Amino acid sequence: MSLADENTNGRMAMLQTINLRKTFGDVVALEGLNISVKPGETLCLLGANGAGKTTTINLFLGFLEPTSGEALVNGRNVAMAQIETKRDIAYIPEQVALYPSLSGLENLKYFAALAGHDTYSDADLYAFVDRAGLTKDQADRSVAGYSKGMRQKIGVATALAKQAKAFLLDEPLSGLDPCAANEFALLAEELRASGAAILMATHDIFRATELASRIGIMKAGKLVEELDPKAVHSKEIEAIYLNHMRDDQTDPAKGEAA
Amino acid sequence: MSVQAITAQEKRALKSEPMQLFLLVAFLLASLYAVLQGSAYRQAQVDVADSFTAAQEDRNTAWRDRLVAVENGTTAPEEDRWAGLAMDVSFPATISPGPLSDLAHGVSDVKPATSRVSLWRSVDRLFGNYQVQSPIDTAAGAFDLAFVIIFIMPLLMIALSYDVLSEDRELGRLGLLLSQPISVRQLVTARLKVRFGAVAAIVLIASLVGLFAGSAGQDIGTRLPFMGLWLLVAAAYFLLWTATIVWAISLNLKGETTALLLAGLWIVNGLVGPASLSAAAESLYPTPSRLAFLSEAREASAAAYKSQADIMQGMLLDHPDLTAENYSIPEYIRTAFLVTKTVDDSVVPVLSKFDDVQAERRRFLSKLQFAAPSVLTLQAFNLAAGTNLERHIAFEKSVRDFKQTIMESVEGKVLVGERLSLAEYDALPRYNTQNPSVSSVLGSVALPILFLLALSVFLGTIARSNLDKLQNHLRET
Amino acid sequence: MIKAIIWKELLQYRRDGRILAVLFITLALGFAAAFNGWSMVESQQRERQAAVVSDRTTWDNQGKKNPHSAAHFSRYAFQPTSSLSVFDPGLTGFMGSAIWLEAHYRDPATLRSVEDAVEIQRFARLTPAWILQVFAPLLAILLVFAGIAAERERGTLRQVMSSGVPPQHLFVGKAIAALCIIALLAPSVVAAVALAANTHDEVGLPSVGLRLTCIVLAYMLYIGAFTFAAIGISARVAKSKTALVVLVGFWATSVIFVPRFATDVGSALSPAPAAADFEASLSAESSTPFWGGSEEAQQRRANVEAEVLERYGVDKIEDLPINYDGYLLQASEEFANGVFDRLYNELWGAYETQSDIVRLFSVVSPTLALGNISSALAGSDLYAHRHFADSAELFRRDFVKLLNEEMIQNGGQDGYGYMSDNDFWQQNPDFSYTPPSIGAVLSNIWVDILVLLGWAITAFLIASRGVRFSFKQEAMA
Repeated sequence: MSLADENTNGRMAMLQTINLRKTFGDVVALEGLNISVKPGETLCLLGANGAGKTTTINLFLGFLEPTSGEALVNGRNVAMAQIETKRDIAYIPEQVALYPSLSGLENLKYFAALAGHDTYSDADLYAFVDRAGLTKDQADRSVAGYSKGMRQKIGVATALAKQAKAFLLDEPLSGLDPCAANEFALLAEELRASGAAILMATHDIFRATELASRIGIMKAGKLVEELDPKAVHSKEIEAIYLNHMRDDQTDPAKGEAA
Repeated sequence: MSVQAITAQEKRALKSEPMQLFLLVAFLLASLYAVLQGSAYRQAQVDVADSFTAAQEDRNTAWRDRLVAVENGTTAPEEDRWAGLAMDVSFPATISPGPLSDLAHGVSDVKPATSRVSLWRSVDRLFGNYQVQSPIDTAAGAFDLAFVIIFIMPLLMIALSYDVLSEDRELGRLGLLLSQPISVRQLVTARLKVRFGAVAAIVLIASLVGLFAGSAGQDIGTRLPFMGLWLLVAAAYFLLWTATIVWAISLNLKGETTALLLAGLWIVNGLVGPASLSAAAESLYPTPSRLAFLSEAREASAAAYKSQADIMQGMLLDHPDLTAENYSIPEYIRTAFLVTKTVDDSVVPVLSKFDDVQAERRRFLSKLQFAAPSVLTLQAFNLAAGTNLERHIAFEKSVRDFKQTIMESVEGKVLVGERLSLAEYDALPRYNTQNPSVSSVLGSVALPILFLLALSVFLGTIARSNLDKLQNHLRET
Repeated sequence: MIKAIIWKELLQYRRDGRILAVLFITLALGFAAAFNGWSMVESQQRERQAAVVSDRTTWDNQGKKNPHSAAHFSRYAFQPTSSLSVFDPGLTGFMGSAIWLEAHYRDPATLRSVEDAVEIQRFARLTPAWILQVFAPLLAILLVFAGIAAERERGTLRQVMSSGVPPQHLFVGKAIAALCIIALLAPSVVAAVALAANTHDEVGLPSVGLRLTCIVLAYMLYIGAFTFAAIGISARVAKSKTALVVLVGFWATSVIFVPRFATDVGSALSPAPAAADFEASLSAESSTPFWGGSEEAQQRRANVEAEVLERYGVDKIEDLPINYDGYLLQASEEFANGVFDRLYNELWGAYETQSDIVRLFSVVSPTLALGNISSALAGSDLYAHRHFADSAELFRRDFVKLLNEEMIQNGGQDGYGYMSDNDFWQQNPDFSYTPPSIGAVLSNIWVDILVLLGWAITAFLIASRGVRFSFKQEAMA
C-alpha cells in the first residue's frame, strides 16, 4: 500500500510500517513489512508463534529498534520520537499486568498518570471504568482477585483514559472464557467504531474474521496475505490460513519442529 | 524418582551449582579463619600468662635468695636490712586461659588476666594498667568460631534452603515431582539433608581443627570434654535453625516470603534480641559509678594518709606489744601498709557491689535468655570456653581475697618491722588458678541445650504435620 | 509522571504489612536507643562532673605533704562525654574514661564501661547510630528489593514502558518513594538530637550544628547508597526473591561480618603490644635509665648535677640556691617524657595502622566508612580520645613540673622533707580541655567521606544503568 492510496481515502494511517525489517543476529524476525491501520480500522494479524506479530507490536512500542525501515504512529517515526508516539498508543497484552495491592481504579489512575493524564477526577475515572464494562464496586476492589477479563477491562479503561488513538492488542482473547471473550470483542468493536485504529495479533481466526476490517497473515516475518473479511468468505479465509500454516510445517528449511 | 535419586541429584547440585558451592566454600574459609585466628589468640593468652608468671617467679626467687643468704649467714643482717621485708611479699595471680578461649573469646579480651598481688597496691589497683588493647578491636568484637556459628551459619542455612519447595512450585515442577512415589516430607528431608549436612560437616571440621590448633598450654585430653559440650551446644543451635527453617518451608509460602520470614527471625535472634536484652539488663541493673568509686578510693587514701598518726595510734592500742621503738626499718613502710589496708577496707565493699550488680544482671539474663536463642547460645559457648563474665569476676574477687589472706598472714611482721623467716615465707599461700570443671559447665549449659532441643522438637513437629497436610492438599488439587 | 510513580509506590508501601511492621519496630528501637543513649551519656556526664569536683576537693584538702608525694598521688583527667555521643557513642565505652596524671609515669586511660557490660552487649549495642547503620539499609532493601524485579515478574514493567516512562523516571520515582519511607525514621533521630541537647555538653564540642549537618548528610549518602544498590540489583536479576537473597547477603556481609573481620585482620597485621609488655617497657625505659645503678644512669645524673652547678656558678650542691632533689626530679621527668612520647606514639601508631587497614575494607563495607565519619563528628572516635589523652599528658607534664618547681624554689635543703599545704594546693590550676576543631576532624575522615561518596555514586550508576538494562531486557522479551 502506498501513501497515494491513503490520500485517496482522505485519512492518514494511524499505524503504519514501511519496509520494516528486524533481525536478531542471523535470525530474520521481520522482512519488508508494509502494513497500515487507519482510524476506524481493525487489522488482525494471524500467524503461528514466531511469525513476527509480537515483534511488529514491539516495534510500534519502540521496545525494539528496526534494523531497517520505519514504524510510524500517527505519521511519526517511532524510532525518532519514542516518548511522543507512545502517547497515542494503548497496549493491551494477553495478560494485562496490574499491581495486586492496588484497586482497579488505582491501577487505572496510575497508568493514566504515567501517560501524562494526571488531572482526572475520580468521577472521570469511574466513567472510563464504566465504559470498559466494570462496575464501581468492582473497580474499588483490589485487583488481586480479578479475573483475566476484568484485568483486560482495566486495560481498556486505561486506553480510554489515555485517549489513545491506536490500540495494540497482543493476543487479547487467548485464555478468556467465551463469555469474557465476547464482551471483549464487543468492546473492541465499539472502540473501532468510535475511530480507534486497532492492530490485533491473534491466533483466533474466528474472532479475526468477526472483528477485522482487514486480516493479515504472517509467516516467518513476512506478510504473506492480506484479506478483506467482507469480501472473502470466512470459510475461505480459514482455508487460506490453514494452507499457509501447512506450508510452514512442510517447509524443509524450518524443519519438523516448527 | 526415589529418595536416593533426589539425594544423588542434590549432591551433584552441591558441586555443580556455582552459588551453592561458593557459599559453602566461603563458609568453610570463614570457619577456618575464625579457628586459626582463635588459636593465635589463645597462644598469645598463654604466652602472656607464662611470661608474666615467669617474670614474677624470677623476682620472687631473687627475693628469696636474699633471705636465704641472710638466714645462712652469707650476708650479715645489717648489710641487707630489706631482705625478707614482709611488705615486699608479692605473688603472681593469673586466670588460666579458658579451655576453649580460642573458639569463643567471650569477655577475656577486656578483662584483666594477670595480677601481681602486692601489699603496696590497694585492691582497686591490683590489676595494673591492662587497658592497652586496641579499642577498635574491642568495639568490633571477635571473629571467632562462636560468631561464625551463631551468626553466619544460620544465614547460610537460610540461603541454601528457603527455596527448597517454592522453587519447584513456582516453576510448576512440584506436581511432577510429587507424581513420583515420594512424599513432600521425604523431598524436603532429602534435599535439606545434603545441604545442611554440608554445613554441619564444615562446622565439625572447623571445630576439630580448632581442637588441635588452639590447644596451646593444655593437652587435648583436657580440652576434649569441653569440646564435647561445645559441640552439644552447637548441635542444639544447629537443630533449632534446621527446625525453624523446615517450619518456615512447611508454611508453603512464596519463596520470597519464606526468605523474608527467615531473615526476620535471624535479625531478631541475632541483633534485636541481644541489643534489647543487654540494654534492658544494663538499665534495670545499673552498675554503680566507676568514677565515684575511684573518687572514694582516692579520698580514702588521702584521708588515711592525713590521719596516719591516728591510724598508728589505733594500731598500737590494738597491739600493745608493738611499740614504735623496736622498729628497724623506715616508718613509711608501716604507714604505707596501714594506708593501703585502710583504703582496702573502704574499697572492698564497693567492689562487691559491682559484683552484686553483675550477679543480678546474670540472674535476669538467665531467665530472659530464653527469649533469644543467640543469647542463650553465646552464653553457653562462653561457659564451655571458660571465657564467661562470671568466671572473670570470680577471678578478680579471688585475687582480692588472696591479697587479703597474704595481708593477714604478714600483718604482724610488717607492723613489728621484722623479717619474715624462710619457713614463714615458704609457708605463705600461693595463688591457685581456678580451672573450670566439666561438671559445673555441664550443669550450667544443660538447661540451655535442653531448651534449644525442646524448641527444635516443637517446631519440627509442627513442620512435620504441616508438610503432611500439604501432601494431602496437593493430592486433592 | 515521577509524581505518579511516587504516589503509587507509597500507596503500595502503605498496604504492605511487612513494611509497616519493620518501620514500626525500627522506629521503636530507634526511640529506645535514643533514650538509652541519653541516659548513658547523661549519667556519664553527671558522674564525671562529680568526679571532677571530688578530685579537686581531695586535692585541695590533702593537708601538709611534700610536693613530690603529692605528685605521686596527683590528680585525674576525666574524659568528657560529648553530647552527640547520645547519637553515636562510637568507641567511648571501649576506651578508658580516666587518666591518672601521676609523676614519673604516663598511665593509659582506665575505667572502660565495656568491662561492666554484659556478655551479649558485645553482639549489639542499642544506639541510634547502630539502628541507622544496621536497620536503615535493611529497611531500604525491604522497600526496593522487588522494585524492578517484581514489576518484571508481574509484567507491569512492560505496561509501564508502553506508557512512555523513561527508565530514569522510574528509577528516580522509586528511589524517592523508598527514601520518603526511610525518612520516617527521622523522628527517632530528632529525639536523639533533642535528648542530646538536654545533656551538659561538657566538652563544648566546637561547631555542633555543622557536625550534626555533616552527620545527617553522611547517613543520607549511606542510606542512598543502599537504596540505589538495591534498586540496581533488583533491576539486574530475574526474580525478586533472588534480589532479596542477594541483598540480604550483601547487607549481612558488609554490615555485620566485614567490620568484625576487618578489625580482626587489622589487629593481626598491626598488633598492639601486650599490656604487661607495654607496662614493663614503660617503666623500664623511663625510670631505670635515669634512676638505676647503671653507668649510663649515673652519668645522666652526674650531667644534671654538673649542668646545674655550672648554671648557678657554685661547686657543691649544698651551695645551690635551689633544692637539688626537686631539680633532679624535674630532669628525670623531662628524660621520661621523651620515652613516653616514643612508646605512646608506637601504641597509637599501632591503633592507627589498624584503623587504616580497617579503612581499606570500607571498599566492601560502606558501614565502616560511615562508622568512622559518624563517630568522628560525634567526638567519640579514636582520634577524639587521642586528642584528649595527649592534652591530658601535656597537662600532666606542666602539673608535675609545677609541683617540682615548688620543691625547687621553696624546698631549700629540706628536699623530700619540705611540706606544702592547702594554700598551695588550692592555687593549682585545673585541667581544662579544648576538643579539636571540626576542620581537624574532617582532615582525619576525608578518605572515609570520599569512600562513602564513591559508594553512593557507584550505587547510583548501578541503579540507573540497571534500570535501563531491565528496560532493554524487557523490550527484547
